Order: sequence, then structure tokens, then C-alpha cells
Amino acid sequence: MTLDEIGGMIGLYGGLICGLIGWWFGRKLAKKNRGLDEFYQHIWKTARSYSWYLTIFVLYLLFSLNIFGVEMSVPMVLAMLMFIHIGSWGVIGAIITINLSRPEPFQMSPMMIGITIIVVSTSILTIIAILIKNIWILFIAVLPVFCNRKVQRNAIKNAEVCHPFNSFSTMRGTVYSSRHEKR
Amino acid sequence: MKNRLRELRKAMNMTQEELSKKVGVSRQSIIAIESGKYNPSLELAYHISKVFDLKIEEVFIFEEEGEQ
Repeated sequence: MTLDEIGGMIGLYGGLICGLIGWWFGRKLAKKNRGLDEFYQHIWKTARSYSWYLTIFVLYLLFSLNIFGVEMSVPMVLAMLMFIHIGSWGVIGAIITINLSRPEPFQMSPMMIGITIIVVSTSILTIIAILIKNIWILFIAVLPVFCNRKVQRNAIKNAEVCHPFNSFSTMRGTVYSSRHEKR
Repeated sequence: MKNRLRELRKAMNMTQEELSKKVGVSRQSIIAIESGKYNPSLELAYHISKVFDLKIEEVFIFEEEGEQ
């Protein structure tokens, strides 16, 4: 057995054991505060549902990369899928928990949504590009930028329809509604 | 679905924590129900109504789609 294989075994099973211990202690603490109720079940079922959507998207992305001639090893693909599925499950669950547990809804500004889309997509694609040693993958990052432009445009429209006297910041600078400018 | 949870709870001078203990859920669940972000199951709605000694329909007000 090589050193890499031993490291892989420690990472794989060590991660699993640490995860299970954390999950068990988390549930134990939540049980003390009656936290394992139907609201908890609702949040984590919803998060799991969203994480499956994201996993399906990554599956399509990986199949597309394969069609375009990018070769990836089985452990690399499985690691990516595992990371995206479990990671997004946890992150989405945390976001839903925070959002539903606040008396006032948490609203992310259009600028923050834009920055998040670009940073997350570029980071993931950079990691993939480094792993498979193909810099052309980074061109896929253009898609999230278009999505971001759509978000920004919707935000401007909403600002004009819903908040005629308000201004807010977008990726292209501060936006003032037309009525605001007239005054 | 609207509810009169906050109004009834304040009338009984009860905190969210106390109500959550009585119905056996977390305080976060009561916050989410009060703010209308989460609709409880029939079972939980029944338990909440029992605390206030009211019928479910007196605590939770169902609104038809499109009704203001």
C-alpha cells in the first residue's frame, strides 16, 4: 500500500467518522432544546431536495465536459459529486434555518447575490481547471456572469416598480429610480 | 395561512419559549409559525390550539388562493 493510498483511506474513513460524531453530538444537543421537531425535518428535507437539483446540474456539467474531451478519473468525479451534494445540503440547510428562524426575512442585496454567483462559480471552475489541467474550462464562467446580469436587471426593474423613491447598489454602480431622478 | 398565535400568546402573557415547551417544539418553530413562514402540521396546530383552549380554525385562518 502506497503513502497516497494510506492518506486516502485516512481522509475517507476519518472524514466519515468525524462527520458521524459531529452529526450525533449535534442531534443530541438539538434534542435537549426540542430541536428535532417537524420544523427541523421540514428544513433538512427541503435542503436535501435542493442539493439533489445541484447534484444533477453538476452531473450534467461533468457529462458535458466528458463530451468535450476532458478526461477525469473516477475518484476525482466522485469526490466532486460528494463535495457538491453534501456541501450544498449543509449550506442550504443552514441558510433556510437562518432565514426561517428570523422574525424578519433575511434579504441579500442584488450586489451580494452577483458577487456570490461570480466568486462561487469561478472558484469551482478554477479548481476543476487546475485538477484536469485544462484552462479552457474557465470559459464556462461566462454563463454565471450572464445569470448575474439577469439578476441585476431584475433588481433594477423591481426597484422602479416596488421602491420608486429608493436607490441601491448593483455591480454597475448605484441605481436611482426614474421617479427619484425627477425629484 | 394566517394565524393569531402572537396575539393569543401575548393575551395569555406567555413567552415563545413557554409555548414551545408546552407543545414540545423548538422556539425557532414558534418564531417561524408566528411570522407565517411555516405552516404547522395538523397535529402541531391541534396542540397549539389546545394550549389556548380554542378550536384550530380560531387560531389558524385559512385563506383561499387570491383572497386578500
